[in-house]
Amino acid sequence: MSDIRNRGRYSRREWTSLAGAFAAAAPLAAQEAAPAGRDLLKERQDDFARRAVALEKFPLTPADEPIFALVVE
Amino acid sequence: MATPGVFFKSITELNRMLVNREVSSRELTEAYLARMEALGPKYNALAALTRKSALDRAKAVDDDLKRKRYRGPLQGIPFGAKDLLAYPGYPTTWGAKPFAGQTFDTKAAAIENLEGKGAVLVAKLAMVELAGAGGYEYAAASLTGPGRNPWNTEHWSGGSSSGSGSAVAAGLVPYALGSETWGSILTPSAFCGVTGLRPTYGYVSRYGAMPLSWTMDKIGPICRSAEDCGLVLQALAGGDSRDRGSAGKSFYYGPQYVGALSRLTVGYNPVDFEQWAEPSTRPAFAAALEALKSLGPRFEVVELPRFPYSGVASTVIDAEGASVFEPLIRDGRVDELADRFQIASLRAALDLKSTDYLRAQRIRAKMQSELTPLFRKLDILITPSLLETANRIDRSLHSSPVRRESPSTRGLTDLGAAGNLLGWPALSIPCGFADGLPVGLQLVTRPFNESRILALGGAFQKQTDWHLRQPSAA
Repeated sequence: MSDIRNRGRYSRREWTSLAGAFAAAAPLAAQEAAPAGRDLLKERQDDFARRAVALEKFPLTPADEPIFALVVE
Repeated sequence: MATPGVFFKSITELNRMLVNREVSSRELTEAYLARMEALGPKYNALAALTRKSALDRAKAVDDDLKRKRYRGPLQGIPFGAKDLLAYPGYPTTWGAKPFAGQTFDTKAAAIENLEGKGAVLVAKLAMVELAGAGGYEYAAASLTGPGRNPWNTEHWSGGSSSGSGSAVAAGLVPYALGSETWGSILTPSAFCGVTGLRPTYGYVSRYGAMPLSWTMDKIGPICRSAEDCGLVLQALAGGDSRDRGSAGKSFYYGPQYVGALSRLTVGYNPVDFEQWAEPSTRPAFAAALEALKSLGPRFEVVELPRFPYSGVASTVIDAEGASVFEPLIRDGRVDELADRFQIASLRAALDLKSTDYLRAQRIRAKMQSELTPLFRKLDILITPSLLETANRIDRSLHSSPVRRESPSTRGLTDLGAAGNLLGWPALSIPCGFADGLPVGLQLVTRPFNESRILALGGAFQKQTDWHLRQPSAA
């Protein structure tokens, strides 16, 4: 997250341009928050596999065409 | 000169001030630029100020107003735009570090349409990186840090149009553009206590906007009221051959033509409000339902047909998003994103099978056939915009609140996924508070019938003052 405590050191104009730079580095906190050893890629692959199996249970016939371009009326 | 009271005025009020020459567009623009510059970083709402372009445009508008060349209610009024909309001369970062230096020579059609009516863009607004793409775990999933809620800065402003929601709530702009693929206008609107409109798919051109899901992306306004949303949509909507999803339709804001509210039939399900919603939000929802009923519509209990709504929506977004961002994923720049969950999601989505995507789109077609007839007997569907208030920014967004009961039916709780899959329009209106944070109701209707939800939402806002409340921190 951006470090708003740093704002007092800069003029408002300087801060506006610097805020993006601070924030660009700071959100890494979000990455670091993930527990060590957690394999997120594997978790997501497993999530997608479970989701696909659930959708396979929905009854479809060969005549059920997909939506290729959503047309709403 | 613009005074502090001006920052929370409606579009109609600001327009009256401009036409009566009580304030000039330049004064208004300078005032909003200064306020955005001072307070935008407090909420991590600001991506970039568009100062020079804004002041040039404001001067041109003032010249027009002096000559009595009127171009409608948005003329001379500042606004902000989510940083996925291209604007020449300024960065368009898509909220993501790999695109921090990105610029475009083209202008997004949505901004172009507003500028055509004399509106003045003052800021690009912060957003969740890549509009959330494959999903994210923390509010900090953004180039500009976690969107902070003006009602309590330790809580999230919502995503992915984070800056658009917080900037409107804090009076940093009178209104802002956001985008929604699945929840990105309604969530920040509900969390920040402002009014957001997700238009019908195809109503607003997406030319010049970052794509995430070609078959689900929509652009719409976040404002202070339903009336303001109607006025902005009127300027935004219209056909555009540069957008393959364009419906080629324009929109005229005329809530008076909807007719008597007593002739409307509203579908709802008490289980949404009494069992699915977090206990702290239930009193606000109960009072809001009573207020809506007092306006005269007939209420009927309904339930959505059983479909795997979330599974279909997430499959479509993951597959289309992985295709959109395939170069980013393959060349490894995806690892520069802030949120590890999002990185993993995008990487995993690249391996989704075409049959999975097609199955989702086939189920989606069946949904469309089965759900569309709901609107033969109903005019509007109502359910909470979200079942809880804004999350704390330091907690995982995946840590859901403990539920003490397990409702026997899903009611209309899947309306968010269903509405986005089927391109239905939705309006989120603030309807109270829980633990000091706003809660909102969503009103959904058939495609291209935005006037209905704007009329009912507007009538609700004439009876209540939730949309007029201002966060003390702002």
